[in-house]
Amino acid sequence: MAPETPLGAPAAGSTASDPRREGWLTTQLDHYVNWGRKNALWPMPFGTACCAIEFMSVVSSHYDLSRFGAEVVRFSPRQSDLMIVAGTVVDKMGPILKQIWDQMPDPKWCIAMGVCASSGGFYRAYHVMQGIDEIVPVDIYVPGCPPTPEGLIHGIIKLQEMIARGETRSQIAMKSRSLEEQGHAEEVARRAVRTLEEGRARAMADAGRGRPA
Amino acid sequence: MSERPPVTLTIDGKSVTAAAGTNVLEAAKLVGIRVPNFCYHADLSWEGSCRMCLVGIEGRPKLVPSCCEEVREGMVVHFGRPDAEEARRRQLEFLLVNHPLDCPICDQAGECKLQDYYMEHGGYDSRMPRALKVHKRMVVDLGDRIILDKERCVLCSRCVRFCREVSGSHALQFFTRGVTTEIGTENNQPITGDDYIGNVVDICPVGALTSKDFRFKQRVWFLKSAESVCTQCATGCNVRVDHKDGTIYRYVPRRNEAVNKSWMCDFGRDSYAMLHESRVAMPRLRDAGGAWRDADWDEALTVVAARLAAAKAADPASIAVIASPRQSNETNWVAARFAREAVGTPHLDYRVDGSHAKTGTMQDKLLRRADPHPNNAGCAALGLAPAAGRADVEAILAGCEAGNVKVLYVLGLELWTGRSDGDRVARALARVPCVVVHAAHTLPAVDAVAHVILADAEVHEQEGTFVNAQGRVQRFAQVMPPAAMARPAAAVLADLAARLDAPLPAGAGSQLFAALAAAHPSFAGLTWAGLGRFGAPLPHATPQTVGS
Amino acid sequence: MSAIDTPRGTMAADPSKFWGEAKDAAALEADPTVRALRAEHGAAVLGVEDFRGDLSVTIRPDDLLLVAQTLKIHPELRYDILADIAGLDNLLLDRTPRFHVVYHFYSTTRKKRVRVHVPLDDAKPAVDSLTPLYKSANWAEREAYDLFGFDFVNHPDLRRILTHEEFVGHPLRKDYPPDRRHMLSRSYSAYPGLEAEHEGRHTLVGADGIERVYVNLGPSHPATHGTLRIQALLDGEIIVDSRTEIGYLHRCFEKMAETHTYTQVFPFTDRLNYISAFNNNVGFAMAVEKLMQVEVPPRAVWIRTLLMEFNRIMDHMICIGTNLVDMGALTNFWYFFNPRERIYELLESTCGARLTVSYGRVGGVAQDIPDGFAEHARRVANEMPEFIDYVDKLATRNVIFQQRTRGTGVVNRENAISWGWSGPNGRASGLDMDFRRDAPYGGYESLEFDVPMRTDGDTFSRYMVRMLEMRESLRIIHQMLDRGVPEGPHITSDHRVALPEKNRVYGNIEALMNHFKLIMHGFSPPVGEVYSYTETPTGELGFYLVSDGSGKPYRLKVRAPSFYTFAANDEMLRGQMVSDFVAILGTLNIIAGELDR
Repeated sequence: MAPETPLGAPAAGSTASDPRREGWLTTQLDHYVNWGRKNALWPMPFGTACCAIEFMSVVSSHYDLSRFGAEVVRFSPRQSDLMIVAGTVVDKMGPILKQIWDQMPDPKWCIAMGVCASSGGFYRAYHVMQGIDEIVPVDIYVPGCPPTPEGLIHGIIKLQEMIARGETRSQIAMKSRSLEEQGHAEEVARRAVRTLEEGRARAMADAGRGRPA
Repeated sequence: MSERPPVTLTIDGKSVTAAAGTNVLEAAKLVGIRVPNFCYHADLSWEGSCRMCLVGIEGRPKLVPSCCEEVREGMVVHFGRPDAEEARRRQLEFLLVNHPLDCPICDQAGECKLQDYYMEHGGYDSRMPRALKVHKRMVVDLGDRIILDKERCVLCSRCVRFCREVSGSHALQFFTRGVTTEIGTENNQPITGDDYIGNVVDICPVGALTSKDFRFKQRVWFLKSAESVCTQCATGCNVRVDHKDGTIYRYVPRRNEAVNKSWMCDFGRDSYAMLHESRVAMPRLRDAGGAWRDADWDEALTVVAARLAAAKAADPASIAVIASPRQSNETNWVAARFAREAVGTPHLDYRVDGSHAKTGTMQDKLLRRADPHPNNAGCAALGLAPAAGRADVEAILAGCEAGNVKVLYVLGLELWTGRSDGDRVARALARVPCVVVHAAHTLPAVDAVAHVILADAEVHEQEGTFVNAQGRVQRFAQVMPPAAMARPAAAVLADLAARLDAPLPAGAGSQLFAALAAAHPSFAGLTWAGLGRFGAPLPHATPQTVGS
Repeated sequence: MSAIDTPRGTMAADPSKFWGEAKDAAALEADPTVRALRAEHGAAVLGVEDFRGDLSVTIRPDDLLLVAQTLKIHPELRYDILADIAGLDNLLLDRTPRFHVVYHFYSTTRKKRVRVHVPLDDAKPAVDSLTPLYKSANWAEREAYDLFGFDFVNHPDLRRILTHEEFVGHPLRKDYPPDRRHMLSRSYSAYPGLEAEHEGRHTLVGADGIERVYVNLGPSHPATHGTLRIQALLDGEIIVDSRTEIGYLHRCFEKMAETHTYTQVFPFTDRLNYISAFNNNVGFAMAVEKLMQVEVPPRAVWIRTLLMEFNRIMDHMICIGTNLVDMGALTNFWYFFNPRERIYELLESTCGARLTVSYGRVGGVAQDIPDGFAEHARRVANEMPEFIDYVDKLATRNVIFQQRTRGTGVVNRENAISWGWSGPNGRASGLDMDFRRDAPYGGYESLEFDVPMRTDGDTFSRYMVRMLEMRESLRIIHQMLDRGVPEGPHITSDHRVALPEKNRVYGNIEALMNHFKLIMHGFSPPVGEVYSYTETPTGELGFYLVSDGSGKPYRLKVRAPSFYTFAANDEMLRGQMVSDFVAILGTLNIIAGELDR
């Protein structure tokens, strides 16, 4: 799927002074980048247990995860952007999981595959972490013990939808962080308010002229 | 009881010696054979109506109910014989012929003898079509405590015999006959005037009689149990405390032949609910302006220790300690040592409300005594009563009124709840500069006069012993950890004593009891383990403590 | 009743009863083990018991080392394998002293077993280590130390193994709450004393002046297939020393089993060796069946055995497939993962689940097989040889593969026995032991199959044994399919363990009560203890089950084959090339769920 409008082309009927134009480029660039991101996920399988076997099924020929652009499995956290925690994480493993997550570059996402990673599952036990969100942020929880391959694929597609919309925690954090780094935080806020106000004024004016808002 | 010599018999090839006069069913228990039964109850008369306990006895042409068969010398009993097993299985089938399919909605499920015996002795496939079952009334409201389901009843008559032989109310009776036989009350009227009727729920082997109070509150298999003692009078009925997740759901009497048999009064049965009510969650201090505020233990104890130290330095006799007949022997013993060793005051008494004089007096014909506290006898055995000429509670109050008492240290709330002269207590205590109270529950009268309230652990939140009116030392177990920040008084006293440079023993109730037994002649020779589940009499009970 | 003397005790004539009959006192005293121990260590023998054909001897703790030596070398005994060590906390039983260590010995020559109970002092539970006699005692004793706090005197390296180093207390003691956790603040090293690691360096210079490189593999590493961790010191490319650290998937199986009813334990057993989950189901079911003397109907036995063999094929396929991936032969992975999907479909048709099936039940299986199951199974079985042939052609005679696997990771027969190896790994080292043949259950006694053997004990042998075993499993499957599915129920009608049918539950009070009690209370097994073992794809899977008569197991110890296989890892790796390490590890078929439980 390609961006609906070619990059940089002005929207029909807009003028250089059209406030929409200022936000338009940014949105479209994000859209384009996110489209790339979502279709080239490089998973880092943090497989510990039974779920890892089903993960193998997902990446092998029958279920073929490459159909969804996520087949380049990388075991180095530095080369991957999607951590799939497949299996029970026990307390002994906790610091390692955290370390690996911290080593992954932004933007990065995390799928808790199966109930153990999501909540500890049926192991309400002395050595089992009650969900990996105790130590790392999770974008998608996939239920099942283990989830079926279809279940995991569904989770990945859902994540892709979130990435396309730029809604994931990592993207939001990264965006605000990079703007801050450029010293643009205030400018962004001001611009947003201005855009909003102008847009509303225009909408009212449009309504006054009897055109659809 | 019986002067006849014990007899020896054989049950399933195992030789067993039992006291004369017992039945075969009880003798079988001695060799680990649990004979199924519905109608037999150890504290009721023998009936033999349910026929679940049939056994073969050599020389007898037919199977006989083992509950109605007295042991005889040389008797040869066959419990596991195929014909006996088959007879019991078929008897169970008969009992279930009209039984409704109620397990999922029945409060008894999980502690139902029908279920247990089906798994142990049944295991047959049903032959009874559901459509043919005879129906009876299912929810009969029998007053404040009991709901009767006539369909579930197996007509064992335990409840009928209880009302006839134990409580004497004759409330429950058999009505009609044949397949429509049912138990109930005259015209299905609610039961009134029987203070022991709650027991019929316990002895009902099936779900026919269920407790209004407990019904549908919890599934029994989720409950955890601990063994304790009822604290509502000097009898000290043995109870099982059923609880879950920090909440007590019911008391069930625990059989102790020497104390309460299998029974307890309804008043005691209901008392579990009070344990959770309006608890003092944490220590509280009254500041100079008279307003109460919460404090942590360290602050509260620092304040109390400072007041005690100051008063002690001025005149130890200006401090008075009031022990409590509702506290355990261990706590009272520590309190007494606290008064004598840490504070050095002679002013110590436990007889706050005159109940000590009534310990031996029965309030009804069965169990309940006039003394509403569990441990007046223990306090007496510990020698907490002041010697003649020394100040008792009345003298202490008089001292308060006269302004001579500078610190009044009170365990428990009986000073306010047990006396009829509340005005005088309030008047006297208003003149004391520092009143410290160990309170488990909040009470406005205490708030009005106290300066420090220390959150006390309730009886189920600590372990210890009481001495009942018979002079019997009985253990109670810790059921759950103390609520919020409450602490057992014994531990707090030990802490305070340490701050006053007078170390006192500390630890769990069992450890304190060991120390107490080693130190105090009244308890000499007793051990925590030796008390067992049913307690043991004081080695040389003083006449004062022995009740009827 | 005619009886045959088998390794499982005196076996009843009825083959569905795989448990033995208890011997009377005289027969018990006549047992060679009892006789020999009484003769050699009369005062040390505190008691002898026989329950369901399991011989159990209680030994005075001070004499353990001598008794174990007798058990091992006495010509009439020759218990050469220390199969398992289990701790036991008697706190809730009416038994003193509080702790027991329970040893399970097996004789590969006599094919007999004995269980040795050693009561330990309450205050300071300690006993001599058996590491001088059996290498398998090393990790087993560390586990008992970790989970129970027993001290094994003269153990070379007694430290925690399954839980982490900041863990407080011993979780399998009965007074330890099942859900009390202790957080771990940092990742830590199995080389607590290694300077280089502390300083963050990856090289260190030994006293000999030679520089050595320190390499950490795992616990999240592509070649570890799970959660294993090996820290190795390299001299050039040679591994001079290594430390294996496990416990990264310790999911508290045994504690969970103590807090769930027998039926509720099945899903937990699935997750031991999750690659062949059903085999664990059956292993556990057989332990309970032995305890409760439940007879399994022939149809259920047939279903179990058939599916166990399919699972065996699947397990070997994953082992070989991933092993070859690690050596760079990715194609084989695809070849072996496709037929596995076929087997998954077969499993799914029986119970709806692919991997963790929970299909076993005490007394049979959870539900009946669907119509056309046998034909489906035949179709799947017929598809298998093609894929096995592909891999055979690609790998077996491949020079590169042979060069990487022949002569590497060698474990000789003597060591395999001492480490308590079993299953395909043991058979690759010349340990001719297969319980399907040696102690038959599930109708294996009537099936014709060979037990593939190799004697080199190297990576290639282990690969070959698995390749051949898959074909033997197919042979078994075809024989069973030829005989046809036995008619009858899929689960016993024994009301003590089997749920009544739903229409009866809703139709009569007896079945309703039966259902209610089985669900809410569970079974009512007799008091006693049994050890039941099966041949799973990884080796001898044993369940040591102690019952206090309640609805939940009092103690359930798993004798996990991966645990004992992997214990030999450090010894195997010494002197090997680091590049071969991956191939060696893969060929051991270590399943973390089973390893750490």
